[in-house]
Amino acid sequence: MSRIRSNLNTGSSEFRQNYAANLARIASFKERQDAARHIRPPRDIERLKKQGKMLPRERLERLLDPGTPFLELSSLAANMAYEGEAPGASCITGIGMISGREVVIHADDSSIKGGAWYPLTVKKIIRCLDIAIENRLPVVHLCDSAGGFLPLQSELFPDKQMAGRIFRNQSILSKMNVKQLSLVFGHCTAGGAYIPGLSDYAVIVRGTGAVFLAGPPLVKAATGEVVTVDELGGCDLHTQVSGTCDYPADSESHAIALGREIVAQWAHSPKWALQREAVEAPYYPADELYGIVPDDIKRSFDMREIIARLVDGSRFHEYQPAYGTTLICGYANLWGYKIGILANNGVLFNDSALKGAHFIELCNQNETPLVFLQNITGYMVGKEYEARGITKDGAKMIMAQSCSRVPKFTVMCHGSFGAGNYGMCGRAYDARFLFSWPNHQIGVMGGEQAARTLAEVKMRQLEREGKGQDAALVDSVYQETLKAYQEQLSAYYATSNLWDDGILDPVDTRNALGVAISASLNAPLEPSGYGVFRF
Amino acid sequence: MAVILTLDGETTTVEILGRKPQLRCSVEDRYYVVYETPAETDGGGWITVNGVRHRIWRIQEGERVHLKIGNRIFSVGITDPIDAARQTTRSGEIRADMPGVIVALSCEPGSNVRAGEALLTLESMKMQITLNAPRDGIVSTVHVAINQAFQKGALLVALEPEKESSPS
Repeated sequence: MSRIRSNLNTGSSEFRQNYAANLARIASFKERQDAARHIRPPRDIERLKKQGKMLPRERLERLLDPGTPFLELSSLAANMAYEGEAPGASCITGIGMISGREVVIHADDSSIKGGAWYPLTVKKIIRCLDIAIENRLPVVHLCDSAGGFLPLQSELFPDKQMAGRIFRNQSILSKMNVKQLSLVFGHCTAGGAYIPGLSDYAVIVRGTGAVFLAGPPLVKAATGEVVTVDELGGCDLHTQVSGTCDYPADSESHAIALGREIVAQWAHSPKWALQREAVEAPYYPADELYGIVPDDIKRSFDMREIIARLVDGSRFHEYQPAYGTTLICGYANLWGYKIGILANNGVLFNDSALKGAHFIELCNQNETPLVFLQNITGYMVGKEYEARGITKDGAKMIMAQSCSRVPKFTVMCHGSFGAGNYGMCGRAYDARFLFSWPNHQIGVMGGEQAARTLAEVKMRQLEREGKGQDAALVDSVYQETLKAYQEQLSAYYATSNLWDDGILDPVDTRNALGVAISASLNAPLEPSGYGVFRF
Repeated sequence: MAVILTLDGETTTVEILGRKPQLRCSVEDRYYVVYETPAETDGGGWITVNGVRHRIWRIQEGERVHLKIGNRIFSVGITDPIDAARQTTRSGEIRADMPGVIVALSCEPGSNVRAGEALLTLESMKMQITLNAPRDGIVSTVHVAINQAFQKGALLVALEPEKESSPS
């Protein structure tokens, strides 16, 4: 494999402009992330301290193996929902190491409204359990939640992908012989009680931990029975009488020590043997990514320059280098792991779609995980391309990609518009992990197109009503639509709604993918199989 | 994998058999184990080829490596076999891969351009794409103007034909 020869001119004004714009963008991202992680009303922090509780991130720091990476997922979930009341969607999820084992972490964040579950909290917990199922990763739950946020109960309780799904996923994990541990630091009320109830192991802290289907006020309302929290569902009741929890702990530190020891008992499950080479850092510095990614969503750039700053030694074996050149396909190593990369270098044409489908099949047969690097405005439109069967060629790519058995990973490097999102393993296609860069935009079409379409509709409506042409009104429709649309296209809106597993600083992409690929190898490969390709 | 080397106009394919712990390669039927020690303060170093140690200095310049081994100087061209397969156009005709509109022109007839330098920017399918010079040369004709629409395959810019040059 040869090193990619970079054509980047790091002295050019374009490079410097992009670099400055992206640095500003990263600073803003880091600021938002820092606020979502750490900024809390002082009274909430004081309340936790008074109860003898640690902050959720303090618990994590003690629980995880020192010096090992923790890949936090969706750190900005709910950042544009509930008027910012639920930073990080009131919970922390991620992939970390405990006693040398890779685990999924789900931690309630009791520093926000007592850890109440908002609709997006539920979505984020379900997503981390889906990750556990897809990658066969054990789960450690850090429970401390007041229960569902009642004013929004209709958005978090009844449907298929709502709260019930958490407990369904827990049951499926157990059936798959994937271990779960609950550390009960605070209350687990109503549905939340099933989290320790459905875990293989549960530790509960004396004094602050409690598990019950209904807390004292609800019990009193239902039956008139007057009972204290401890009598109803405290540590001693559950570890001595009911058997709902297994280990009593005198303090949070004690519970964490027990938790680490419990995980240490679990058998190491074998990973499948992905081809691996000695690790080599990329030849080109990662921070040059800032100078490549344009400040304008419409500007294209050479994805080879991105690949050169992600993969080992910047080495890349390009497949079909002279065919379907708007989709770059090829093999590389990342943290030593063999991967197949599909990266957009323009619009998808018939030949690029066919090349992509073919390369995906090769990777499936070769047991090579797929990494999709998206910057796509769609498949080519127009009479000539329809006549050549652009729809059925795109369908082949979607079929090959959907039915892939190897793990898939997607990075939203820039735009993701229209059907290109489908072919390139968008959210609907079960990428094991999907990350976005802060400059990313996503939508069925670009903002300008949508605003122009709606402004034209408005203009025709005015004409029908005989109000003639009101250029100012039409322009205001255009500007307002554009503004609203831009907000919905942004990476922050996408990550707020869990359309990805989190925003990454581009320079962290290599490390995040390394953790993700390693995690994915815990699930054995399924046999190959596809549907019917339309030829 | 293989690397194609050019030395004094002759082309040789070197098959790389392994990089770690030391470089193992074959040229035709001969097999070599190559071991390099880190550079010394004078910028030179040592290279051991099948057990024989040589003093070496080298400078890399794009696809060309200049080597001083003992008292002899070599200038070796390196071609990546995949790059060779890419068959980039040398003709100097820049054509449209897809229909679109010109949004910026960065050259005019007579412009002296270097390989990789921007010639024009087009917009198609909501995306702006900059087309760069495939090689060094002088722009002979520009066939489009700003805001002009064009069809797939249209000739956009042409460079003057390359002068015949002897193989290096």
